[in-house]
Amino acid sequence: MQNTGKESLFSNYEVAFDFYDEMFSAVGNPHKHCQKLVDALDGISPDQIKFMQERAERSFLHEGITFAVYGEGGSQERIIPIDFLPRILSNAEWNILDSGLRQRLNALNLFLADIYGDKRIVSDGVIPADLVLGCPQYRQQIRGSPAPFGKYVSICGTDIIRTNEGFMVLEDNLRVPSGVSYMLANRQAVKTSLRNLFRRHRVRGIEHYGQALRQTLAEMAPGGVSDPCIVLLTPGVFNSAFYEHMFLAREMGIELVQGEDLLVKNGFVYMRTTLGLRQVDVIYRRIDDDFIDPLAFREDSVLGVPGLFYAYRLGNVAIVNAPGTGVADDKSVYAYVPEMVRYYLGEDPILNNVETFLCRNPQDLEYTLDNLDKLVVKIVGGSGGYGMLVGPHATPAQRAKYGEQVRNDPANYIAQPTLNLSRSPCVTPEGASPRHVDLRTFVLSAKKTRIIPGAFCRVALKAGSLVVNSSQGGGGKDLWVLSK
Amino acid sequence: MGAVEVTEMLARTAQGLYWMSRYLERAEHTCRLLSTQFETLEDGSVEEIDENWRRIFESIARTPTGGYLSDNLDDEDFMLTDSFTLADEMTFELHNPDSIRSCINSARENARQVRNVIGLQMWTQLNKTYLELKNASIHKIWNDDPEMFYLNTGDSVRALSGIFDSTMYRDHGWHFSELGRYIERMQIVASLLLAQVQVFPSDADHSDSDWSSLLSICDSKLAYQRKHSPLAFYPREVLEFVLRNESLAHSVRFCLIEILKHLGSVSSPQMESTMNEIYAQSDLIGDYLDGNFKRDYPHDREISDLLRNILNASRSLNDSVNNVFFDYHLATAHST
Repeated sequence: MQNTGKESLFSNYEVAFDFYDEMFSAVGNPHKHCQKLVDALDGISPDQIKFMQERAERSFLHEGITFAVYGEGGSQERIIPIDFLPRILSNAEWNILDSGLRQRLNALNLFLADIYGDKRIVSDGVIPADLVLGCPQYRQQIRGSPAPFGKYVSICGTDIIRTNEGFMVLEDNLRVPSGVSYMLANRQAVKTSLRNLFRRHRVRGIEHYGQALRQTLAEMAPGGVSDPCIVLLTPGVFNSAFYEHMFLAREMGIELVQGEDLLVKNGFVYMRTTLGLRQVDVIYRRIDDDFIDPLAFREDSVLGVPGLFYAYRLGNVAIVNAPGTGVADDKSVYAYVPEMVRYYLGEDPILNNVETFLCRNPQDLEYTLDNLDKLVVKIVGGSGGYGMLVGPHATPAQRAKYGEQVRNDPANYIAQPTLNLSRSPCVTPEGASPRHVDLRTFVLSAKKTRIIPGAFCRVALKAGSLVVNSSQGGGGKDLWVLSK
Repeated sequence: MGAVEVTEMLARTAQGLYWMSRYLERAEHTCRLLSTQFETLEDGSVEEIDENWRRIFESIARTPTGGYLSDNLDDEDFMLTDSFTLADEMTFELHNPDSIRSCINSARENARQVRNVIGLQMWTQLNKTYLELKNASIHKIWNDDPEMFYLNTGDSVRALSGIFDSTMYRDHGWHFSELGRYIERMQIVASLLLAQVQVFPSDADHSDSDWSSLLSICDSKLAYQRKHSPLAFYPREVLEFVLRNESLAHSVRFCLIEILKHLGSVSSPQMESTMNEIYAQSDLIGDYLDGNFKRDYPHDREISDLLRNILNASRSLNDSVNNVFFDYHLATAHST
């Protein structure tokens, strides 16, 4: 990239017109807000860079920053890969995201209040009734349940991508979004590796996330509780995000409970402590709706608490996020979020959606099947990159097989164009090399809405790959949001 | 100065800390067993080596997978090969719950589930110890410096106790982890003494090394020398020291004192009736220790019975702690 006559980190770095580069312009100059970092890194020897990268990796290994991957042999505990080169956003860029995310979550919460209430958006024909009411994540039981401050979703994880056209929302995660612990772990590791550079960049802090989360949860407590007992409900140590559950419980100084630690008595929820039973006011649940209460949802659930939903309906305990929020992050409903923004807020969306084809519509289905080689096709209720087809990277046989699945159950699929995800430099044995990235942002909302100026920057570590999910071999980077 | 506030915690978390400490205590003990054994391997006779292996395996109530080497006592090469196998079984064998790797794996697994209440330093140190053991093998340490390996691993585990001690908030979690540590230590020491009198009868001829090595395993040799300035190691004196000395960190009496102290810190007035179940067991152990050592235990048979009684009572104590604090019936539980 910069030819200074000696071998440096960016000597052989290549930008491409098709992909927005997070560090360099299309002609190869660093973006203004990245100039200082590029200059500093160019002055560091390859051996030092290697040492820094290894140091960051070692800290992850020693601290056991892991996630579980499900495969044929059961689940395995893996260290999440980290690339120590940060991705940088200017303050102005971040402000766009901040405003857009607030607007979007506001609209999504209004949508949830509406569809579990009068269903105006359906009767006004803005969104098809069957799309909402027929969605498996629509929970009839939620109607009439308490939602303090109108917030069904208090913890939102929205995935943002960037192309040459700008930022776009790839999806919203409104049930049990994960990844925030990796954002904080990445920051810690990178801060250690790039201590002096970090200080000189005036990066906005994210370390108060745990405190902000605790405040958000406390605000959701049933009325009149001044010092609520908050717990984090985890499925247990075999869950892929167990590290995060433990991490967040520690950051907030709350108990990490499993279903068997809780019981419902006379409509109140209690946990088993060393001195007897203690009443619980707020449950930050990291268990899917289906499993939280075998009496209300799946009968065969052993992870949940019998009677929990009853206590919630009575308003004796807050469940965060509320059950039933999954209907708003269904991949078909996603296509209507811009309309929700206009309908409820009377504003144009600040953040655009990715063009989405709903295979439930015959026209979209035909287009999808005719263009499988150009599209990414996803299961509407899927997550984690499982079960999706990346058309351009699939073989003709894989596309034919997947197409057959889509044709047999079209309402279960959506398709999107293969996006030219932006790229960011990553450390490789050959020096810095571009890799595709996205951002998982985190928005907290109760009485107040809080956005921590940071995100989990996910990286597709394999050259050319567009799949950034941790469960599919993706890694992470620190995101630096500059204060000015 | 007001009363020190001791905060209750999730029962399962307290249980995780309790077992984490038990496994760490066991790992440290196994390290001492093996580092002492490797001293014997350097200069002991084949018979001594064999007897010491017997003491180790008897103390954990385990028969070596390949049996003992008694039939080949005259074959030094065979003895060394056999020691290699026995050391592997005590160090890396995951099916042996007393092997160092088993104990560290179990301690880490318990710690992993309670990481929200233990400091980052504690977890990181434990995870490092786990990773080091994961990458080690009996071939590697045998060809390198086995004695140093056991000393270093023992030091790593002891460092964990130090980190835990200096970083842990003194709430119920702390008291339950200390309870776990001392209940485990009491059982380990009682089992070891029982194995000692079985392999090296105290009322028969003995060599000093049989009993001084026992003191080494119990980290008690220096204390014994300071207390008794011995010209020789008298078996009964050693036994009484390790059982009843109130100032010796590895004595059964010391463990009992600590157990009672920590039980006192985690009980509440509402728990009086359920606590009786626990105190019945600890009183029983106290009674056993209060006996007249010379009059009541004239022969090894009586000593063995005494040690078995202590072991049984300490196992019941463990069960009672579990029933009262961790796995109590929800229907009858009271609200805090």
